[in-house]
Amino acid sequence: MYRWGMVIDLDKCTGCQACVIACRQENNVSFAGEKESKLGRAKFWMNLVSEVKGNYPDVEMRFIPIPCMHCDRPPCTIVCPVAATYKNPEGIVAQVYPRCIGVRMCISNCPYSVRYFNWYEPTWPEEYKKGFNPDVYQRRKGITEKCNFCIQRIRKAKEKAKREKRRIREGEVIPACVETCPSEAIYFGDLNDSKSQVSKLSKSRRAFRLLEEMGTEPKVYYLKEGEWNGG
Amino acid sequence: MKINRRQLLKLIGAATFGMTLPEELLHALPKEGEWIPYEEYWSTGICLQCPGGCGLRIRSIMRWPVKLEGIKDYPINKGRLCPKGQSGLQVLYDPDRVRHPLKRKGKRGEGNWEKISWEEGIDLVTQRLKTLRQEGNPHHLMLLGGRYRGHMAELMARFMEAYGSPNHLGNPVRGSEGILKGHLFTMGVKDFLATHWEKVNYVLSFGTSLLEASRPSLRNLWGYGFLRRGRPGIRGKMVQIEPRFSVTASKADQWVPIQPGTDGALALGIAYWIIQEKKYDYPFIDRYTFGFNDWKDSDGKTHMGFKTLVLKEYSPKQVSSLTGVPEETIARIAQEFSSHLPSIAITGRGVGMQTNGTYAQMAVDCLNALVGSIDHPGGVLLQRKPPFKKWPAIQRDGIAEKSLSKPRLDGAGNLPFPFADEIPSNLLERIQKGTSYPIDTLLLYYTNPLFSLPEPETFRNVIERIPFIVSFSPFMDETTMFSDLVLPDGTYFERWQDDHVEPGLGFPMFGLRSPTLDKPLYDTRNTGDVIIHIAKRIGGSVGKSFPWKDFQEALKEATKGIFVTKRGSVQAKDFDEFWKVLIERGGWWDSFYPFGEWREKFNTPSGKFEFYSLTMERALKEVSKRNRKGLDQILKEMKVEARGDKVFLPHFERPRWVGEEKEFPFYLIHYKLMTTAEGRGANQPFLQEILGPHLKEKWDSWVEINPETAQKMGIQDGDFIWVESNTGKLRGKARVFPGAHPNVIHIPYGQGHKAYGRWAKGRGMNPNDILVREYDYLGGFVSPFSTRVKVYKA
Ligand code: SF4
Ligand code: SF4
Ligand code: SF4
Repeated sequence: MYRWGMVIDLDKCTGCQACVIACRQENNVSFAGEKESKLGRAKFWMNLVSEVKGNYPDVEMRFIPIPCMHCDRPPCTIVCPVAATYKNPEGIVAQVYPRCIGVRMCISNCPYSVRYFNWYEPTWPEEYKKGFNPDVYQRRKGITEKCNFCIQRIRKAKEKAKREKRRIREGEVIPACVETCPSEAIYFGDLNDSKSQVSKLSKSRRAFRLLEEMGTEPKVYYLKEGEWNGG
Repeated sequence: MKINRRQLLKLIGAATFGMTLPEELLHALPKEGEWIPYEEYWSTGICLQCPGGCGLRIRSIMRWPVKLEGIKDYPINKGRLCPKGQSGLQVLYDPDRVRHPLKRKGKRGEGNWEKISWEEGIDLVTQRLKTLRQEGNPHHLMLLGGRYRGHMAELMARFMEAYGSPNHLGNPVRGSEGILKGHLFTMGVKDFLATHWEKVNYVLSFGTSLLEASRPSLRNLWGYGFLRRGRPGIRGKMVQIEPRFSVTASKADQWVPIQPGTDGALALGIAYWIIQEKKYDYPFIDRYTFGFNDWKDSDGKTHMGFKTLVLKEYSPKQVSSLTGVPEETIARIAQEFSSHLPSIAITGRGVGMQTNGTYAQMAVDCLNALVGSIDHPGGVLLQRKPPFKKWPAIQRDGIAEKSLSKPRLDGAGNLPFPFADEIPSNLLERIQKGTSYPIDTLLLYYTNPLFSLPEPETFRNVIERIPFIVSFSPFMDETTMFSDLVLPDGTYFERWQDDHVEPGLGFPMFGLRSPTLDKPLYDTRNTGDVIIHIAKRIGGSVGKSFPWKDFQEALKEATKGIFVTKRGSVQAKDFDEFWKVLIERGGWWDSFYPFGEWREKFNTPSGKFEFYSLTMERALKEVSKRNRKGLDQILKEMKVEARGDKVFLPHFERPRWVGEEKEFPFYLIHYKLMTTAEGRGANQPFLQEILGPHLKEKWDSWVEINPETAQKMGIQDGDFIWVESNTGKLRGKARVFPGAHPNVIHIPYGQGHKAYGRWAKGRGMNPNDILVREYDYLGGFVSPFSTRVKVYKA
């Protein structure tokens, strides 16, 4: 069984947000527009969060890309009254759109704020509709959506591997954010495979997870920034 | 051979799933559980959201592109794209694109258009241009070009020359001229230099927007990641020198805040330490440079060398008082820079956008020379060009010869801009003073001066006087709004075009854009084809200068030069095969760089790297002779303060600011965001929605102001304020940002459009609107960072 996980190296991440846009284009995530986005209603399955601290010239600025953590013990799934969200056997926390009734309990129960609600029917200019990804299902007003590690890409890789009667190879499944990251800061793979890059990196001395103390067991690991040692 | 989409499909090895989708289902998304069969294919292209030239792999479903990725083995982007690249389909599918040729109906700028056919449009231009020629006045034609890519630059220049007009303003690197002039005076290069990221250990960046808007952007983003974690056990250091705490500064190991306009002084202070401590690369200096030590000319006269000047004027103490950088910091950077080799000093917009930009760039170049980081692994490299075949000679008839000898209208090449290639900002003054002849027709190609030039309103005064304006823009931008005829180009997914790489790799490469769709989305035409067509219709020597059916054929001819070398990433038995593979791969490259070859023969009078610029000395003497004026008089007109040998050596000249400090206490420095794409991305909702992550800003503009400064003035985060210079004022939202320099007002560039589409128009402010035009006369460019402003609550 695969256990999909991600590692984001903050020492390499430049805060460019290529991952953010790649995700939106891949997953047909509609834009919110000025008014809604100022109300905090823009949907970013992959979201770049920033923090600025200090006083000139001792300023600090941090960027951290935040997808769904695909918690191994997800607090979001247990509160859904209709089981519209669940953790699949490979560890992906998925959303079943037809089942979702929009009670938004999962949203309030996610400590990472990575679940997004469709306040309106997604509005696309007619011209943009030509660019839809047919592998990604439609969402309507009143339901919740979120990062699913580009499950459509995983599905395709699995079909191919099955046809060829083998396991998925390291590097064969690449979510859209991982594929585009200009500084090669995001890694993806099977955490169950001890030889995979994500397995190794997740055990690095720089590795940490967000809100680890909550016991959610995220499958997204971060590598903290390093320091120049003059060497 | 014409390639249509079907053939392309085969070429690229399409994956075909099931049957064809009925048209009505095409744009509907499947509901969960549904499966819609479709046909998928992948093709290649080249991104044009910035000048980076990244290779694209385009995923199409049925006929429509649905996702962009990078071409895996494409050297400049290695399979990756930045957020602008990712948002590229919002260019193709932009609902506000110009969809067919348009002729102005109402008053200029009113936006009242009549749809016309291509035949009528081309007729209109051709008739006008023919008449101008018949009257012996082809020089009354002006062409303002901007983002030329690949052979489009040459094609347009060819048209102007054959037609007979010297008035081609076609600088694709407007805003970065200072860097080029610096390199020209020290190394004889008229190009940017590449950074050899694979080997560099220490990067000293003078105001480079490395992680926001550098060129080539993606190569540098990748380079940053590689510097950090690309080599096990080695983590390179990056130092960012800049007044504002930018994203690049935040991701550097050390940020060195500096007084605006004093980068050159800091570079010389660093040089002082290296020279004083004898930490320079002696063999390199001895063998490959000129003018480090004092020297004697052929008349036996002794001239000052770099070392003497630096030791006399740029001690850390002197430099510290100019730059505000502590002496210890200068010494430490110098020590690290000269010991953690290979190290490299790089620059960006900031340095080149001051009145002293050229000298500052020369000073930074000298740092690379001091540590021998030129043409060496981990240093700066000379960008090699692909061996294109030259197009046949341009034909000029008597009319062209005569009118080409007329003086340029913008004054480029004459005092006080003897070394400028073009000065569009100077046109108004020139026209007001009364030029010897008028502009009759203006052609606009991929440039939008009514948005992108400092003080665009003055340019509007120029434009208003021009009787006939033709724009080739795919978008209804500010300047196109003002034109009389629009002959729209397609977007970068819809045309044949080659694409040069910006210096970044050193080794030669180019990209090939081929149409992704079997025909353009709308009734648009490749401007390359249109120009060839117009030339042929004008006929005579003009037509003969364009011996090709269309632009694709012209490109094929040029690439034959590469085909015959049988080297690099694409090789084939015959040319048809070569062209096919080129399309499939998205371009050609030859990843060999001959380290050490360039340094043996710099293109300078001494054949060496010139600390003392003989190139500049000769050129200035030439200007003196031509104008029958003494050198000092010329320097005065060019506002160079130095006299004697110092003129030809990198030195610090005090930046000139416009606006009295008492009335206008702040400097105005605008900056670029990763998301703004030079203002060309403003009509893309995806980018608007992630605009300024450091302040969580979206769909807007803002004015960054230092917290203490704001407090003193009673300005709160989010208040509306006025920013006023002596040419105008802007109203905007204040954002109190601890990364803002206490004496500087920072505004991101890219918003404030008055046209350009539904999402771009009327949103935020354009800092250009209040910039004052000041110049680096030596470099021959407008210096956009010279404006002082005051701010007050609105
Ligand atoms: S694409 Fe990569 S570098 Fe850019 S924000 Fe995302 S993780 Fe960071
Ligand atoms: S990050 Fe939030 S949405 Fe994702 S699995 Fe954890 S709790 Fe659920
Ligand atoms: S760096 Fe420039 S060329 Fe490359 S993807 Fe981004 S916008 Fe396109």
